[in-house]
Amino acid sequence: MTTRPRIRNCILPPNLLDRLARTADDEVRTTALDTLALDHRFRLARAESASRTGGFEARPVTFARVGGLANRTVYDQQHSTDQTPGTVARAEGQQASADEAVNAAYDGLGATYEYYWTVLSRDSIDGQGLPLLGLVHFGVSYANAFWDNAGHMFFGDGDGRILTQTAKGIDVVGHELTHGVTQHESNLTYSGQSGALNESVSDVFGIQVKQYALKQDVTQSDWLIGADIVGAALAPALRSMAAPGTANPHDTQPADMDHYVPGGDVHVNSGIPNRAFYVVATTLGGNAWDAAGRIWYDTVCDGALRSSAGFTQFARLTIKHAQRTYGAGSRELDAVRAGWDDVKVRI
Amino acid sequence: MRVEVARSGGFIGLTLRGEVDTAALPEPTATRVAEALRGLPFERPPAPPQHPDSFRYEVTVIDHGGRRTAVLDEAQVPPELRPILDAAITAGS
Repeated sequence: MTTRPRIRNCILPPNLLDRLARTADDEVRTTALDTLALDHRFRLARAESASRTGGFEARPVTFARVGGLANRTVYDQQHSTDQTPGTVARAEGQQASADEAVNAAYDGLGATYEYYWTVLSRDSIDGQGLPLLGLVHFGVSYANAFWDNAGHMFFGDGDGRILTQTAKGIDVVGHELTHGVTQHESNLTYSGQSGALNESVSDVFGIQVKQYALKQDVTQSDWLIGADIVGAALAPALRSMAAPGTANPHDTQPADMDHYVPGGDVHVNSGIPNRAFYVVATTLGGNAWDAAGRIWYDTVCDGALRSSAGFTQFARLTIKHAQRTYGAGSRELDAVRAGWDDVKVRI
Repeated sequence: MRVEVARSGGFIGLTLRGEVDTAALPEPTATRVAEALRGLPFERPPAPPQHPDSFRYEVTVIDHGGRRTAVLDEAQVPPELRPILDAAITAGS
């Protein structure tokens, strides 16, 4: 059983190359020596990479990788709560499994990769082709899904009433994997306003992953988070980006700063920046990622966005990027201002 | 003993509530659960969440001693207690 994603290895092992280098004729010796040198560099890079796994500060070393290809593995945790990857259920390129949760996770990971690569030229979560590992059937009736900050996304099967199979939510996968993106970029602290921003960024890119997969523009999307995984208790959705607070009977999200909840859970106050993004995207029309998504992404990746940033700092950076990318008199800049005005965040 | 539980966080991001009476549970579960409840870190701050979208449980135990509340990250919930709390929340939803 492998617990690490499969990495392509050289066909000729070093000991064979070594023997050839010592004993073969000149032409073969030269080739063997060249190959050994290259091989040594690959092994060094892999060893370095292996020693720096997980965490915000780690930047894996890669070798001239051409992005564009997801590297997915889905594991079956078989209802254990052990966080070590279990049995491999589907590896990249393998055909569909009989297990729907496996296929849904595989497709969701792929859709997230596709969005980030095609729309934002980002090669996986870390921008360097990080393998996407999905672990389904985690726990018993577990009504949750999460990214563990160490390269794995866990999916519960749901309890049937609150949530159903979590792997079936494309926006859920996009949301969780975006926590990984945030972790590698600004690493917004997961409490207070920075935490609400962290949560909002995950909803903002989670909904776009779904919109992109379903070819929905801003008028066709329902802007609902979790609509595909809620059970009867929380129908029709967990959160509404268009109308925070209206998604289900338990939804207490505020839609503007007048209703900001001091000390509120990060999933509550995220309604405010969510609504701001919704206003920007729908004001501009077309696809959410044409301009709004681009501006938000540039902000997330901006080194000036500190991990402790609040709504105002984030908003100011979106203004900066709108201006920089589209110009001072642009409709894009106007739309961004309108978005933050709508939710009463002072710039 | 009566138990009130509130679970927040998770991808759901909502606070959902439930309650259960350990007297209504079959043995030996009832005894194991009662022991686990007595051992909770009452009046102490919860451990920080290990990852985003982790659950947070507020468990209030009501017995002849009064009301005591323990706030826990999901990683801190004893395994014998977890299914009881989650079932109470599902039933209350």
